[in-house]
Amino acid sequence: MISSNIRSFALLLLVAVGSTVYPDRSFAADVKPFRITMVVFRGCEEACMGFKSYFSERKIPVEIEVLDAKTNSQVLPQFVKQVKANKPDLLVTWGTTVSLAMLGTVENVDPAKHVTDIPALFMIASTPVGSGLVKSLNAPGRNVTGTLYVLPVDTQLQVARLYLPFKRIGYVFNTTENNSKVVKNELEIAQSKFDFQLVSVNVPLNPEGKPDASSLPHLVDELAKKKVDLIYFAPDTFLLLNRNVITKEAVKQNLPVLAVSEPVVLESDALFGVVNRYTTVGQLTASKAEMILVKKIQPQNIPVVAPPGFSLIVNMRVAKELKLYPPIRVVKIAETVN
Amino acid sequence: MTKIDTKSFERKLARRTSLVLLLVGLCSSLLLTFLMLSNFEKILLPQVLLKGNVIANAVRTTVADSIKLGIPYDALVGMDDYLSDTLLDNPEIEFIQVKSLDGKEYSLYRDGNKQNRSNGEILEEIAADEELPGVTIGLRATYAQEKLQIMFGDAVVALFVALLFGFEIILFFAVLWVLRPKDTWVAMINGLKMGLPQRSLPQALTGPLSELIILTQQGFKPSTKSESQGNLHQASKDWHEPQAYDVRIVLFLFVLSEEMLRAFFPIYVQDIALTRTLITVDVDIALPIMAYMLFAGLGTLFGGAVIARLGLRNTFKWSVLISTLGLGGMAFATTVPEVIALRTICAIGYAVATVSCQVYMMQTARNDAETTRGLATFVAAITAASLCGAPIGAVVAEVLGLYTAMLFAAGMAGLSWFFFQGLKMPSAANEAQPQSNNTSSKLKDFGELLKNRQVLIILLCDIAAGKLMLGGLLFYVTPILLISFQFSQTSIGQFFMLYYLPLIFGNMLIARVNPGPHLKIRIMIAGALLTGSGALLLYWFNSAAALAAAIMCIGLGQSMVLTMSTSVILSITRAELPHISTPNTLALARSFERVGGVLGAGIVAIFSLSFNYREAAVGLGICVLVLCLGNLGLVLRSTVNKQASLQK
Repeated sequence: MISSNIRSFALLLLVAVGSTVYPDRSFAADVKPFRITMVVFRGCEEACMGFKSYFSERKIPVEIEVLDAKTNSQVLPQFVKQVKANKPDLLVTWGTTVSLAMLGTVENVDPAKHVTDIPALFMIASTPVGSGLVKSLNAPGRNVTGTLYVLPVDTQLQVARLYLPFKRIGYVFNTTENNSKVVKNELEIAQSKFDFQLVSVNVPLNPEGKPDASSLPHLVDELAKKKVDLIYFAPDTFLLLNRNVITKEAVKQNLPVLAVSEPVVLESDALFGVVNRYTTVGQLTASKAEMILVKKIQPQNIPVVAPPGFSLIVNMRVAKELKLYPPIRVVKIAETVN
Repeated sequence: MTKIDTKSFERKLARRTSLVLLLVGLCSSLLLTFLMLSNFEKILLPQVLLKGNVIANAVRTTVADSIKLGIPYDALVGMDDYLSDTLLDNPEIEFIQVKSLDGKEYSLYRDGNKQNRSNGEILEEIAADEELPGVTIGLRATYAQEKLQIMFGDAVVALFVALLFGFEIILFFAVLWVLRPKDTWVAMINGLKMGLPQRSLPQALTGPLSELIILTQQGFKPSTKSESQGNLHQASKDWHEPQAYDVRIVLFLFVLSEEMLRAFFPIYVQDIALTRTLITVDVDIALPIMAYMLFAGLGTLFGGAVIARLGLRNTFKWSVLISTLGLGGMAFATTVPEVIALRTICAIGYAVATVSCQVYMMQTARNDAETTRGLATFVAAITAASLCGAPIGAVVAEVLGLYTAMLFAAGMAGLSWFFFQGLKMPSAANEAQPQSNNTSSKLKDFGELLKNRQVLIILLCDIAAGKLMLGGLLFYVTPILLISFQFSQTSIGQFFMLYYLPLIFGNMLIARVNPGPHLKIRIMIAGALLTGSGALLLYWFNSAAALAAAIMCIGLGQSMVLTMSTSVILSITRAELPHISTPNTLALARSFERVGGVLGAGIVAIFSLSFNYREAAVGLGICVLVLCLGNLGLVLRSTVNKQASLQK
């Protein structure tokens, strides 16, 4: 009896060790690679690279076609037609603008204008529920799932307090974009909890009804006059495209900027960012792709999640310019750039 | 007839074994501690200095990193916070000083002071150079001794618990191998000498004496053969009669299973309530404690009736089964209602099983001396389990987790059933007994007792008041407060001994004096006041020491209240209500104890809605002291009676 138990245990051990040593045995050389189409907004940046690296590290055979909109949303309907014609195994979209154009919303989806018959994943979408991409984070409600990259407002503010005290937060509000509205609402709710006052300035619209980029420096000046301690940079496509204008003007006005998305602190002049690194988000999205392609789990059964942890990035060039050096506690945990 | 030594062999064995174990354990602990302390300079101090050096280097590296990032040394931000964090993480450090060559200095002392002064700290220094500042770490000279003292304290507690636990195990084997064979042998010799018919030997007779007994029986066989054949109906009986000590290990293990939860139960409920709150977290914690107290009280009241219906063995079997299920179920509970339901089950099982053990002990007694011994065994087993339970449970919870500790407790309860199965029942035990004392007459007695003003005052102002503190402060607030004082689970378990030790020593002390009736009342009232007043210390001191003092006050106060209140209440009943039986009087007193426990947890829950737990504990103490004012009526009456007796 005992010896037969030992034999069973040894067999199990052998199987377990075998499966550890040869994890990729299911992907033999002759296996047909999975076909993935990625639609990105401004080239294959860190999230896109992270997505690709996940498959190469795990030796999962994939063919990834990248369709780059080059910040021009007019080309997206053409991409929809292209994806429908190519019929890839999985569609991955980058950013809220691209995702909405390619996939529509839960409430408003048109099979003629959107991709509906191919499993889809989104990434770098600021507020997937607020923008209508999915019904809820736990149950997406359709053939679409994805990942989060913006941290909860509470976490951002808690970490920001480690760096500097603030009583008044400035907010450049783009009234035309849903993400901007959702974040503003969250900041308003957080006011009493974190004991600060939100000072918001609206971006004026030009005659075409679009936000006027030329007004941005004036809006930052206005926030400086209203004596805000910090500008909160919302994860908004329009603002992201104009991030250099806003952050440079903020530095000129001696105002620190808190970024919640990576490029604002890495590529522009935000003082610090409480962010999820795009590479990590890309890899997490790729792990969802693996669940769909390899494990054959339906997207509607995969919850939308954020990467565990976060990064606090400090732009030292800006810190020196503003003479707002990070406290020692922050130095110990932060990544510094420039 | 040969005179048999009536002195308890069990007591002799217990005394000598415990004395030897205590002496050996204590001497070895003292010797070990002495050696550790004398080797302090050689072993521990260099390690502490090494750690100081590592910390100094870490501080310097952090400052260097900041300077490398371009932050000027003079403009370092948040140094106070950083140094404060470092002091908090390293209790052996008294101060940290960071100083550059040009004299710019950042420093912080443990008490928050920034000024330099010397208290004989051991200094660990890294000198400043052109690029980086120097770091000086002041290590507390007494740190290692403090640590060793704490280790010594832990060793004493562990030794004490191990001693008690080991003592119960030794007693079990003493019963199995010595006491039971000895009793059997004595009974057999006496019986055979008196010409009683031959009987069988107990099946479970084991140990070195068993052979002697078998030989003796064989030697007597020829002379009793004919009589034995003539009394076949007695052949099934054996020479061994059950004794009170037989059930001791069963009672010990069963009570231990429940006591193991003491140190972590509120923390366990808090964990669940924080995830899925039923009312508020504070109320959620109180509800299972209240339910437990309430149903344990009801179980105690009606336990006798259950035994009368089902028989002793069945009653114990079922009550242990539901207790085990309740304890085991808690390992898988995810909501507060589930915990309440399971605690209710545990309470009923616990109450009925302990009553079963008590009844077993009483039924084995053939005279007053044996009854007293039975009660002493009952109290000793419960006391030992109470002392061991919390520390053992705490260690299991810390090492294996709260939920595994629940399963462990369930295992202990199950083990007690295993031992109970091996017991021979007293002759009257397995038969259903007609209820001599029905519920209606019991309720009538309770009514009459409650109409007596003196009895009511004692029940409310002394017995229930004391249990308010027990249910509210000890079982509810203490673990949560200790967690907030950064105590480990193991330390919390040890903390509970601060209640039981004064209680036991107080009981021993009071048992040695025989005060008059008036003094008894005064001791009882003083005990009730002491029970409540300790909590007031928490108003002035927010510390574990104040909590420890409050708990010791409860222990000592309760030793005074419990012994004296029982005596006073029985003497009042005998004098003024002689038709009411002692068991009914005691049952009412036990019910008020449970009511006190229920209300204690409830009051803390209500207070904690508006105050923190420390303030809630103080509020509870004030409630008890206010209740104690009711004793004025008792004192006045006692004084009047005393004067009247003097006049006579």
